Amino acid sequence: MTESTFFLLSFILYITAGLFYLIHLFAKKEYPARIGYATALSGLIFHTAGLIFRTVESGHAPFSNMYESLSFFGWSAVLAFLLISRKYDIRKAGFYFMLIVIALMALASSPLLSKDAAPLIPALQSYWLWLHVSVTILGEAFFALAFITSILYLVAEKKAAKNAGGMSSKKLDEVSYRCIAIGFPLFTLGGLIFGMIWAFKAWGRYWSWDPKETWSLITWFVFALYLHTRLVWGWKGRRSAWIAILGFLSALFTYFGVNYLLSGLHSYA
Amino acid sequence: MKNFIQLFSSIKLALFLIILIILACILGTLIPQHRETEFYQTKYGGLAGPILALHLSRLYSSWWFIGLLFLFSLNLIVCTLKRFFPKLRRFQKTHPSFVPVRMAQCFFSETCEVKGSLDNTSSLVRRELKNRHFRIRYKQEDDTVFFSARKKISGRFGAEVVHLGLLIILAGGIISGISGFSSNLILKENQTAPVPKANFKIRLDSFQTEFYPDGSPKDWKSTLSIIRNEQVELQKTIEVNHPLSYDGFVFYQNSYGWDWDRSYFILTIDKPGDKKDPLKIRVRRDETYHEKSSGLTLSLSYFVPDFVIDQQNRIQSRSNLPRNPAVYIQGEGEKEGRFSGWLFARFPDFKGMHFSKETGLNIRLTDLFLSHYSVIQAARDPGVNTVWVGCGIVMAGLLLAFYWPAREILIILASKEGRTTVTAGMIASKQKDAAAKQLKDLISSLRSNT
Repeated sequence: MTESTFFLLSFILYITAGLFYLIHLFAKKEYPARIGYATALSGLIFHTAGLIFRTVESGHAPFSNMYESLSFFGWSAVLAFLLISRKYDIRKAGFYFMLIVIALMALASSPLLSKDAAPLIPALQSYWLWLHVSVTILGEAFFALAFITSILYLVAEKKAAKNAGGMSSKKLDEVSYRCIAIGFPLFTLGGLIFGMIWAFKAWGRYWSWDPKETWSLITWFVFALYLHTRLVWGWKGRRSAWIAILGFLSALFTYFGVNYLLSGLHSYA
Repeated sequence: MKNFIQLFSSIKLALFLIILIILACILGTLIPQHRETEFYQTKYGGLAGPILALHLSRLYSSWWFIGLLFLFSLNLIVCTLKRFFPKLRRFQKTHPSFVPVRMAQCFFSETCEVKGSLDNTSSLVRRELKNRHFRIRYKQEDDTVFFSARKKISGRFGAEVVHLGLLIILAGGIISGISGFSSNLILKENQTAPVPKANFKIRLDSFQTEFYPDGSPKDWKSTLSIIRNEQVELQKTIEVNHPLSYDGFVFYQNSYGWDWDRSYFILTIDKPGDKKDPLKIRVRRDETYHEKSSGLTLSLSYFVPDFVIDQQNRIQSRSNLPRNPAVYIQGEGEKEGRFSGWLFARFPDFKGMHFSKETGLNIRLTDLFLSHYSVIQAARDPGVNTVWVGCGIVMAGLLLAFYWPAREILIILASKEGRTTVTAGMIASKQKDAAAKQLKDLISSLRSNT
């Protein structure tokens, strides 16, 4: 078994989990969701094995190119979903969230992206690669979950019904907040602080207004807006949901858009 | 003054400034920064004027962006201070006498009756609170006992701690901006250069490039010596991600280039009909070689490490690595006349850009010895430690704000005919469901223990 086999296996399991969560949306029964959870968990286990294989094979952290970092993003997203599932009943959001996971995995397996475990260029040879990328992406995975629950909130509100696929809008709003309360400190630590420390070690400047740095700061400010409007002004519901959606889109642009649309120091990842 | 404080203590202004900063940041990533004036003129045409006038070409160091950050800092200071002191008063330890007043502020309270006497119940309450790591103050007045108990109160001040950390980071940024500097030192092996603004020198002892088996660069390593008063104080090999720190300066491996004084090429010349061994000559770039016997002159004017022809038919180097080394030579001979062309080390028989047909000469690039110089960035940043302290404080503040939920429990015990009435209330601003559950849990263990 090689890394790509594990990757494929976990991809298939995530799709299966998504299908079970879809069945759960329509069938008024509990067990499809339970199977969905178990399938996603087993996918995560295979995926973890794949990532470990990859690390051993290449001898470096498994996030040195787009394929690797997308795969790790998918892994973090599943982990975030399973962790939040233990605390909150978000089974009804399972299908929609698995769509994001499947999109990430599909993008990772796109033939446009090189899957070779290329040796690390000198600028990436640092343990900060582990710390900076893993913590940032984990934070972004929680933002992704908040994004889905916020969209579901807006849908629930638009339907003028109290429920979006069975979840009350109050619950959706609360889950969004909890995800941001986890994602924001992680993103601050991994994206901004670890990023600054690594930049100082590698480039001699902790802040250069490089587009990726600037967009991380923009993302951070958007979530700061979310927290301040909520905790000081008591904003909830629709307005909060919109800010959370904008925040994730900004994080997504930091992750993808900057690489393809803007040029800068972060040209490698 | 009063109006000033009122304006800068408003959260509305803070959010407005954050939105302005976000928009400015976006603009700065859309317009490429720090380019030549001509770049903006060709790319933006008529808009180049306003772009340059508003300093959008160096937006993050423009007066208006710095001004925006300054207003934001001021806003942050006033906002935080204005809320800090009233909050500090609000969350002072509650004197037990004020428990009844404060009970009204509880978001959740419960009343029950237990069997035990006042003294028994009182000691039970103390024990239960202590088990839950609360700090307790209490006071007995006739038939009534007032308790005020709290824990993790610092969690109330998470936001203030985050703001303090941000201000420290901004202060560090100001120090870096004013007194930090960096400059690139170009060093050949065994060359010594004075470090700007320092009273010591630096010498490059050796410079090496390591490659992976596939030819891509693995590492650049410069061995540096710090020299003070003609004495070597310190020697260290630096590489990317592993700089050398000395006396407030940090030395980074920044880049490298070709050292033409020390690089040379071996050319092999075959003459048609000549039975002698081929002639091997050694030339450096921009050097002219004369062969006395035949009067042949050769000069090497260009070197391209990774030769490629782009879509516009221009010769380019795809990378800085000698993957497809090529040289351009020009020569003149009595029989051959003037000639010029490209020679490729990897493709000695490739004649397409060569002159062998016309001249009968067959010249090959058989070997090349390339020497590099190393570019070392010397930087001093007195603000950086302040920034790290600020970062630590921001993280501590975030953890306090999100994961250190402050809890305050108020209890009044009133005794009546051998029975005790317990009135308990909880003050909490975060994770209120969990807080309410904690209070219910406390009450049920009081009940079950009497």
